Amino acid sequence: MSDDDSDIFFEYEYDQEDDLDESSFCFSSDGEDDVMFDVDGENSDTPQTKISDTLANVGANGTLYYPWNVEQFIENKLLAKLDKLANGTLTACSIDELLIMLQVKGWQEDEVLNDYFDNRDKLYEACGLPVGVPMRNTLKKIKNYSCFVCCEDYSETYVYSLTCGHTYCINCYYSYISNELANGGPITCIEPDCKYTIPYRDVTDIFDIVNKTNHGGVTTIKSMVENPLLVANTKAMINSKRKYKWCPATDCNGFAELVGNVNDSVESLSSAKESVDISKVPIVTCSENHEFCFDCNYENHLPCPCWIVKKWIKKCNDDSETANWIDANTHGCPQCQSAIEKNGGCNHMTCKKCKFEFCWICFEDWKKHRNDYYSCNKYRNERQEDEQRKNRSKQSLERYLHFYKRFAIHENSMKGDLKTMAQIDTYTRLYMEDLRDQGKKNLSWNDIQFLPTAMRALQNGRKALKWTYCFAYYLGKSNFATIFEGNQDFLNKTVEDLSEVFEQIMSKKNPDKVGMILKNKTKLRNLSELVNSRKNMLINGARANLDDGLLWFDNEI
Amino acid sequence: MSLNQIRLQEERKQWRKDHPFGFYAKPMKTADGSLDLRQWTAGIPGKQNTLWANAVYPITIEFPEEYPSKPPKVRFPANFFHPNVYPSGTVCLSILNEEQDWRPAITLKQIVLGVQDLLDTPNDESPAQEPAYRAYKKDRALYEKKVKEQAKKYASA
Repeated sequence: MSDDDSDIFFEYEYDQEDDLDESSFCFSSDGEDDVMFDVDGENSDTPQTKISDTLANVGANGTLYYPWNVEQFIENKLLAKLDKLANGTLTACSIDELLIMLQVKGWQEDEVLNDYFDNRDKLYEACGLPVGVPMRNTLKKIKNYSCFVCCEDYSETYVYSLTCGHTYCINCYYSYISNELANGGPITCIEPDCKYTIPYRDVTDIFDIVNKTNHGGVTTIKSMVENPLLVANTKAMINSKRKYKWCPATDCNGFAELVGNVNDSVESLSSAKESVDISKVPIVTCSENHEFCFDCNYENHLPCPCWIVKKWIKKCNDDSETANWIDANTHGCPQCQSAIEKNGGCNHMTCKKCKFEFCWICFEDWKKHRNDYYSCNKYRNERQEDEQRKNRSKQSLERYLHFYKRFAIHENSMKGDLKTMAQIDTYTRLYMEDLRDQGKKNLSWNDIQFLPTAMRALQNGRKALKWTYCFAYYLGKSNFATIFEGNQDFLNKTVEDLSEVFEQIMSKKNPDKVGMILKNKTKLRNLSELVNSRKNMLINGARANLDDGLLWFDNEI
Repeated sequence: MSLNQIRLQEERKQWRKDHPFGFYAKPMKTADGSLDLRQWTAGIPGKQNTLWANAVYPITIEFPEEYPSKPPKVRFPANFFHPNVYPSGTVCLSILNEEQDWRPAITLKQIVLGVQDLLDTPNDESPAQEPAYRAYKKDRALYEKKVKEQAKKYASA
């Protein structure tokens, strides 16, 4: 990361610190439940929910960050710079020219200004803008055209050309641009060695026309924030800088920007390899309110520290447990050593592979058993040793399976919950629209705000619960570990209660879904409060006990 | 007919009408004897007065489904000795890289001429195999010997 990156955010950081001192600051330091955005994305384009530029969020542990999504970022960060130049210093340039210059200069408006006043022509040339001649980009419909790239003969088609006049059909330009978008940089004329850059608005126009002809008359790109070039450029920028991290949630286009002590928190965490200080885990949220860890880019995994998470994930993906299972449940054939699992009662075994017949009890040749079968029951010391080893790996496997099963169940339940909640969401929305259409008294949005809150509580509760099983797996035995498990049980029960209420609402037996929602309002509120407080208690308790050395991770496991 | 087929037919037509001296390029045949326009074999003659002269180097050209939006893949035989050819034979050339200088308007003729140019003017910046790159940088005599041996192997009749 270069120095000039941090420069941009100077003013925010200072503003932030001022805000922290004032009581007006609305995010408590452990306020990971504080809500900035609604779960549903649609609400986020209403002006009230937009991020105020000067106020960063504070994560669970004091991490300063901004939750973003691509559109908000383009609007608030990139287009703001454009406005500044277009309405201030560089009024002589067109929007198209400014956007290309900003993109080429990595959205550093100062550099654009410097280069512009230093040597305008040089800057224009570097940006692939026409020097000395006006921009003559054309997008027009013509008859009887044969395109050089696709070799198609059109009786009528749109063709596009830049100032250079190299003309190609719109379909070729469309697929060329679509491919080039993956690179995130400026896109030039199709002609080899031609350096003219395609402006943003032309991309919008080309995409619009192609989408209209191919997908039935719908204009797809409404505003600048959806411009494919800007979106691709933004994504490339987020990927390339360390202070941005994408939200790991499925299909989420949100991300977080770390401000303030970027280097501190990232460096200190990765260097403190096996730290048990989970107060440092930088939990942030994206614009869709998904919580995730900025350090390891996993979902919120509290109470586990990042290194335990990595260990656990590796273990779950590894074949090591398969090996343990094979060791505990199979025997090698005494002759060819293939692993054999006994699936019937008879102890007279025949190896499928080498056809060796042997006794499952003593692993001797079956021929020796012809006359007196029970001779193999004579006690032998070495065999006992073998059994002990088997028992140990069987136990360790069982222990792992115990925790893994619960971890996986909650993971699956989270998906199930999401489905139910999506249904409820659609249902309420439809109902409210219905009421509005009928002109009846509107069920106010406020009346129903407890729903998203409860849904979030359920998701976050389950997530925390899920990770407590990973936590518990690595936890050394102690009285405090038992207390932890007790708290875990409490949380488990509350989460299940809350989940059940949601299920009941969507149950087929219940025709009046909205009525049921309103009826259960208090219950939902109380339960989500309870989930949140039990979750916090569990995590805070774990944090404190880890700090005091009352809880520890067993390195043997 | 898909986009690439029309263009590829046109490329073939243009090639048959006129192509640079010493080169050849033709689509491969499929199992049933028909032409597969997506797979070509071609020969690149080494330029006169260079180490590569008096030989024609065989390449295969593979056109992807997305051609001409995406560039074709050009391959020499595996283990071809050249600093910018991967051990698999794939050529590392900026005009053949969709992340770099590929443009849909680049023709077959430009591609093969580009590959011919590359033979005697390797690009230091993007080494693709170790033996040839190392020899080229550190032991020019060995490099020249190897290239000449290779030229003999592919000597034109």
